[in-house]
Amino acid sequence: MAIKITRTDPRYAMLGRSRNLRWDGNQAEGAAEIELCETAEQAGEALQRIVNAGMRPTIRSGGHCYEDFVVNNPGGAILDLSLLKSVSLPGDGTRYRISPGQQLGEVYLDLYKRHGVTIPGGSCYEVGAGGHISGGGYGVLSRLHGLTIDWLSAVEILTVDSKGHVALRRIDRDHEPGLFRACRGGGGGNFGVITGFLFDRLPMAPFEVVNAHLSFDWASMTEDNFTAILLTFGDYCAKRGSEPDTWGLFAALGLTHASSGRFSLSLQFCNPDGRCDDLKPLEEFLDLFQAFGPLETRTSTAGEKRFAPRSPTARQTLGRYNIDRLLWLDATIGDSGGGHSGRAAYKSSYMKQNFTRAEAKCIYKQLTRTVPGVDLRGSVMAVDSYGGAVNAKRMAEVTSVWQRSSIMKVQFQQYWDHPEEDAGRLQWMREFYTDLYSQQVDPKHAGTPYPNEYYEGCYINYPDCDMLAYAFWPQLYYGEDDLYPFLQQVKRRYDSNNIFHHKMSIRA
Amino acid sequence: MQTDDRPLPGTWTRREFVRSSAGLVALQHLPHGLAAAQSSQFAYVASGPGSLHVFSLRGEVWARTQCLTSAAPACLVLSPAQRTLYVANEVDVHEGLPRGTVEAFHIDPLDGSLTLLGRQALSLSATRPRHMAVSADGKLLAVAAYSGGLYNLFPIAEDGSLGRPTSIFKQAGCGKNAETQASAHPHTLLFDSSGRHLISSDFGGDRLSVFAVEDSRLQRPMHHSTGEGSGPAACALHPAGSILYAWHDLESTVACYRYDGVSGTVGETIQRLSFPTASHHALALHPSGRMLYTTAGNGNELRAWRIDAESGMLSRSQDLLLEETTPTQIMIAPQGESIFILHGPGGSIYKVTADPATGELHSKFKVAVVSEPKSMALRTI
Repeated sequence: MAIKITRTDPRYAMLGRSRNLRWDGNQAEGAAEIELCETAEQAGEALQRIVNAGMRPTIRSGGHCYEDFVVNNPGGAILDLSLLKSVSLPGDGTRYRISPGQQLGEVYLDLYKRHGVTIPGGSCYEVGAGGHISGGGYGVLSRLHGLTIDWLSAVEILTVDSKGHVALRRIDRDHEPGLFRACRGGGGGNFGVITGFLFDRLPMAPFEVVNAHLSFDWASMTEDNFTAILLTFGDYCAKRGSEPDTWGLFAALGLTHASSGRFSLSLQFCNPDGRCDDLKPLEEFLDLFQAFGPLETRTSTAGEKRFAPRSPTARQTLGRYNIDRLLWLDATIGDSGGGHSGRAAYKSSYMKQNFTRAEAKCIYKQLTRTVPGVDLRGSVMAVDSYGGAVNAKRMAEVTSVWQRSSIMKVQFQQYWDHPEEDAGRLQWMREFYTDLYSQQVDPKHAGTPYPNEYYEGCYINYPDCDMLAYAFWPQLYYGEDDLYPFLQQVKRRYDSNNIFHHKMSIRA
Repeated sequence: MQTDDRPLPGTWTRREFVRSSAGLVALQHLPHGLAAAQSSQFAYVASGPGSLHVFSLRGEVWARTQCLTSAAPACLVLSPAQRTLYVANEVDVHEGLPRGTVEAFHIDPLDGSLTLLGRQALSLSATRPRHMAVSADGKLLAVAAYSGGLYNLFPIAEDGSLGRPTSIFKQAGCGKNAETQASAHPHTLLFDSSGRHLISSDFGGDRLSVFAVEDSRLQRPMHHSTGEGSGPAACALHPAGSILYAWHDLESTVACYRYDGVSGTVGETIQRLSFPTASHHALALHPSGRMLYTTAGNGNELRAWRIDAESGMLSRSQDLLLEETTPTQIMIAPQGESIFILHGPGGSIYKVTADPATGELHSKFKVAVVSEPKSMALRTI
């Protein structure tokens, strides 16, 4: 039996709350109960009880959902999979298993120790595998190895049939291929409860990587310099970054608000063979930013926690740069973030081209704009280098991640602590986003990175309910072609009663 | 199963209908105060294109006194004290989220006019609500979301306004008709006479469900299968509380079930009448408990069924030819002296006078025209 936590249980106060304290304000909206499941069988039994009782199940693995899709579920039940961590194999030749309750740090450790392999997943140690992989699963190694779902061979999933009966299915490209494709990036909480991700093969973990950090001083930053930095970064991603010898380079511009003092450029690098013997591509990249007077730092800046070094095996110089050479596992699960539990808001976009000068100026304007009475520290526009192996076009046909032409991926983030700051911060963020994505978007879709020659919409693992204001929100996340209708078809077939739903779930 | 779709010898003809309709008074748009001052009865009609119409009733004359916009009103229900009108909006999306809405309107006791008290969103996924019921004590409003397969129970405050749902129930189920029964579709809701049970017909799941209502919450229901592919829809509970009548839309039958109000269970089928040619189904019970009305023929007949006082069984009593087909609702005045029939595409609302004691049908009048009338409520206090 699953462990049932009701609202009178002292653990409810802890387990019933959201990581993002923005969703924690109204206790009356909280779920009636939480079912903590350690096995797929327990999850199946609990799900059947929930369905029979007419309750709405919401699903939680690591609890990092950016939107209010889980905790506020009045009268419903949270199916909590954080204890479902089994890595035992089904005995059918499958080589690797990841369970939804495993945190990414645990996944990296387990796969590395047992097999020496890894997934090209995210860089926040505490994020749960269930939601992360359901939405695609990208991270620092994605330019080198693609998305996590590109490697997925099979999924074990609990579905609820049209009569309300729960069934455990093992699906792959030959068995329930439609549902399998939908589970490869369609997003969590749509079709059922995934209890296992199975892989026939995975990439070898790099032996070592190099981390480096540059930062730039806002106090001396001019609009021209800022624009040049963005265009240089984007130009690299669009051109040199598409060449395979650079795919081991993952760089992220952490464009914080000017009130933070500095913004950063952080990166991780290895050669395609997972070693760091040839650092010329790295030096070449770093050289591009010398003209802009970077300050060198060894620690990550606010909002950018992905490259914090731990136990460097060698601190060395590369030309004029200090870099840290680390064993890959140290670099990956070092103090790798995910621990923030204050208030937060997020938005995203995929970029197919370099920034235009007008976009760069707009970003500068917004990041240097002050709003009386609003503290904008903790605001960051994280621009990740993208593409490389992710852009294998054939994967768009067999997965549900259609964005396979982008060179950069942008995540707008804000972190703060006090509810009274909500309105001002959210308004600034919305205005920033709307302003930026009204420049090169047709009037009908203004205010969004609607798919066109510049953009590829948004990332479903960075869900943003502000987009629900637009009737075309599904096209932002799933494109204009046949993917969304396909996902709707799968939804109708495998969840005809819409048992699994949240604010941005696939509409049947 | 009985088949009973033949014309009765006493059926009214078109000529008789026209004659009886001669009293139809040209509809007027009277000044609000003038019409209202002479009437204490008001009719509220939901119009499909998105409006609510208020009519002042004076004999056979209906005068429209107010028209309000409303998203997509599909069902109107009055509070027991008739001071508040509740409106279910049959929408898929509200404020960007998949859910319908319900609205509460205060009714001015003098002129019958409506003032919005508030609008409440249904729970997530509770889309396209089509039916509602108010508990006899006036403290709870139950809403059935047809598309979402969900029930929401709202608390009603002293002033008639609605709070947040106190209970949400998600129903799972399907029927054999893949096109129309792919999921549960709660169709009609009724509180039984004890007020402790809520009866629902699930068109998608081929069943009648009875929820116990305890502490303003819906408890897991008892189900009664109505037969594969039957599609139960409109239903009505006999005033004595022991017989439940239900249209089975997909198989075009009307079934009479025993109902136990103590345990809240639907029992044996005591009669099932077949209407092979019927295409549009509506059903209502006369408050005397002596007559049940259904649509019949091609939807162009109103049929009165005498109810046996002992067994609850139906026997055919009277047919009335209607001018138009596709009725959307049969609604009966609380005292039983009038029966109203709403016609979807044509927009006509007919009033049929009836014997308050027996439910026998008399004269028929066209009293109003409203674009796509979907639901009607009558304020008589």
